[in-house]
Amino acid sequence: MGTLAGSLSAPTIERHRGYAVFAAGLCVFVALPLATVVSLSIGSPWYSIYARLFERPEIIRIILRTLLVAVITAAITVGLALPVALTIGFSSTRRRLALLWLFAIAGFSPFLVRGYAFVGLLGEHGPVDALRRLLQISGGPLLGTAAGVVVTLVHALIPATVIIITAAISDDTKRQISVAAAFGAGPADRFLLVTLPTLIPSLVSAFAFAFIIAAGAFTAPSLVGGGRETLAVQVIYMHAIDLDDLKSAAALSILLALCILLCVAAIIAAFGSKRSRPGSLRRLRSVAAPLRRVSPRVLGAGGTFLRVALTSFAIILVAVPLVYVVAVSFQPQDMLAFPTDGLSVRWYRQVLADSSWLHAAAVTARIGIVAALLATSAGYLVAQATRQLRPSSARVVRAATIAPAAAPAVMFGVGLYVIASRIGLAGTEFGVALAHALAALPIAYLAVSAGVERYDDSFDRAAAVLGASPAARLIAIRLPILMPSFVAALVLSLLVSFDEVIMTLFMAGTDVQTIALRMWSSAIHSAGPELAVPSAFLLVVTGLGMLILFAQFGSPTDLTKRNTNG
Amino acid sequence: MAEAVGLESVRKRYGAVTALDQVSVSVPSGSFAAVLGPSGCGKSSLLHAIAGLVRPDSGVVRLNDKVVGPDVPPESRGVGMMFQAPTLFPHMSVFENVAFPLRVRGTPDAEVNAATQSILQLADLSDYSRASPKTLSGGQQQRVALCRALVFRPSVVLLDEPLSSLDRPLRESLQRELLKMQRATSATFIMVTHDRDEAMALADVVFVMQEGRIEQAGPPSSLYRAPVNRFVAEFFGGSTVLSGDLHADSNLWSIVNADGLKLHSSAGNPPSAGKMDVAIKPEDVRIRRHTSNDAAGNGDCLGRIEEVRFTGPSVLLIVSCPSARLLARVDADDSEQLADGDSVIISVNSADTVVI
Repeated sequence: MGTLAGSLSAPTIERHRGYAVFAAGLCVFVALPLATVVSLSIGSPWYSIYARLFERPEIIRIILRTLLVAVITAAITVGLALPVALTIGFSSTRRRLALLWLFAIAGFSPFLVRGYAFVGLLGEHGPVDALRRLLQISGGPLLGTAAGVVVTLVHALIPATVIIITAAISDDTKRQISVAAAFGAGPADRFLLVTLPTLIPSLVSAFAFAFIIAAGAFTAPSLVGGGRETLAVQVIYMHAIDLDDLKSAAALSILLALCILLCVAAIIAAFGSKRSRPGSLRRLRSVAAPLRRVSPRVLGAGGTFLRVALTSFAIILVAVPLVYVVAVSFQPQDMLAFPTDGLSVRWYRQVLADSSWLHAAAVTARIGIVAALLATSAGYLVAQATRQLRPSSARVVRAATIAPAAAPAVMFGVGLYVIASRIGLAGTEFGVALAHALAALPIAYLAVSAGVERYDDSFDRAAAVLGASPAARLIAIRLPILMPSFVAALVLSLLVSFDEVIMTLFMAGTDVQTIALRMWSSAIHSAGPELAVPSAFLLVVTGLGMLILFAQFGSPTDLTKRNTNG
Repeated sequence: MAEAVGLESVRKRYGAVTALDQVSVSVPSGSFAAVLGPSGCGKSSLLHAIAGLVRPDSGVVRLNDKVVGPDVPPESRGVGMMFQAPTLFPHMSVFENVAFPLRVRGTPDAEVNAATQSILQLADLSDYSRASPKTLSGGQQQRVALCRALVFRPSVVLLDEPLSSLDRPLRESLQRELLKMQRATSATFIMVTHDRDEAMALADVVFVMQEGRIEQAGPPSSLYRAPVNRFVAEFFGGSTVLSGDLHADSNLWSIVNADGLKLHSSAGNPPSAGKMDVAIKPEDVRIRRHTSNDAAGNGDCLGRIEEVRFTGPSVLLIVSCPSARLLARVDADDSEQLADGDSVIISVNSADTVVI
């Protein structure tokens, strides 16, 4: 049986139909929950459920609020990420790597842990409110406000957006800037006419990414916004679980998904065109005109100051909550208060003595490993398939594989829940693992396919001529060479699984208790200091995962890079 | 001599492109064969058809007098191969790379170690056996690839432009290495190259290819002396091909071009009548300065120097007479007074030229 792909029409090194069949199956697996949600949302007449939703003004308000929060979050995130990316992109290699890995660790830390951190940071006993009282600014704590939700989401999204934008600052960009300088372009012209235009595609993807995640967010708004600043996913969840109204939940999630899709399409239509239009260049040049009168030295120094200030702010914003969680886990008081007096391992003792936490840890590990293996192997097979399929089919398969990251997770949660209940998988560990595999599929695919597309088929040809059978080629050549990508996919999938809440809430029922779920159900009622212990544990796991990736890849931007020269 | 590799009427098409057009070759066993041609002439396809990496549309491939069907996979053909890139497996040491063909054949460890060590020693690579291939230079990597292609003592070794990415001095030292290894193993080497000098330096037998066809096969000296067509004359001999008219005179005949330049002369009967093509090697062209008391004689013609190209011991001249332009090679010492634009008298050593 031939198992290898190759570009030559050789007797054994040839395309394999199995990959395409698998890819088709995966598309169905992804589409099925979505189709289920669509069919749930259809009443008689077909629009009746939607019509009922539109009769409730608060529903429209919540959707509009969700989109507004997402737009504001995305704008602030990209506005902060751009100076950070510029700082990182133009630093020395060592500093660039150090900063990138800091952002990678922060970016892959569980959203849940960071949401929990912000409950403490923004709460009435937290340091932010203490600062507010000190400065005698009127108002109350940020916890429970839309501003608090935005801050939490910005914090959550900055790392990934920084990495997206930094990846776009290539050596080519740097050369172009030097050339522009040699032709007499000052700092303002260089930035507005060279740097910014080359970064626009990455800024658009970063904005779209931040918008999609923010609009579909669940943990941050639930923990930090609470009941007062309800966002769309919370309402969907409420309809599905608390009100047992799956039909409304389905219709609402489709409404939300359509709104997100429309907004992203609008963003891409407005800014996404790859060629810079002459009009926009002229506009940029007119912006640069008054700046040209300022002395280049003053302008350069001012720009640098602004960049460094914003970068420092972003680093603090990203790092403080992580440090805070670890610090809180070692403080003795009964409430989330920090700074505090004294150190204590009291909460560690309490958590370690609680068998339910240990049980949850074991369940989490089992589910995580199964989900990571499923997502990674599916990612590999899809990557092989997309390499062989016609470009149009490959695009469809790729879209289906990325879909779980692009559509709100709650939609998959509802769909999977309905399917799983029918076939008896709801409330089982395997059911949860399947849901987690779906959630991890996009990142696993991106990591594996980067390796697969970089892979040089001539290794297979060389091994074949030298006498290696198809099986020997797979085991001795292809898999070992692709191993770093597999490791990356496994680690990232594990971290996704450890952090998954919304799909788990639907799938787990009452019997399956993961760490994330246990933390979630405690935090939603009262976020006490004992939760800092599992949080710190998850942070350590994230750090270890990043350490593994650091050993395999030089830079986080290489994780999903497709072409390298050597 | 027994045949190591034979192809009979092998055809391979990629869409509208014919890579192999009824190719038939026979490579004697123990020889060093070169397949020479410009890029895209199908020479790599020929090699890949032998290796089993390309499936011919029709025709027969024989290895050691046995027919190898198109469905026989590469791993069952038992040939060694080197590629344009070293293609060393990045996750294995130099030693493991070289040992790979033995390991996949299930050779016992003791034998693997002995064979691998001895070939690394022969190639002067023993010091690097624990190294990762990534730490080696390009030339060293290709030498490791050569060891890997030879370690299991294949009777046929295929070399797909293995030296083309190396710089000149390195290429020459690796050419010597290839010859040494070929003599040491007495395997049949078939090397694809686009470099005429490389083919001349290494091969016992050369196959000149163009557009999927073998134009001429034979030892380099015979291809050089007696090209059968314009392509071989120009590509392999570096000759200029000019056409002229037959002038027969009792027992002698000659070919003279429109400018009165005698291109060829022979005794006996002319091969045909009318216009004929003559391949003129640069060293068969004589150049002398045109002075007022020296007029063009019978068989000579007046011309101009268009370009003087210094190549070390000799100088290559591009000279033109009214109806033709040809390459001439003269001794560097004789060329000192010659410069671009000079008026010269051109003559051809007509006894040494070849009618094609």
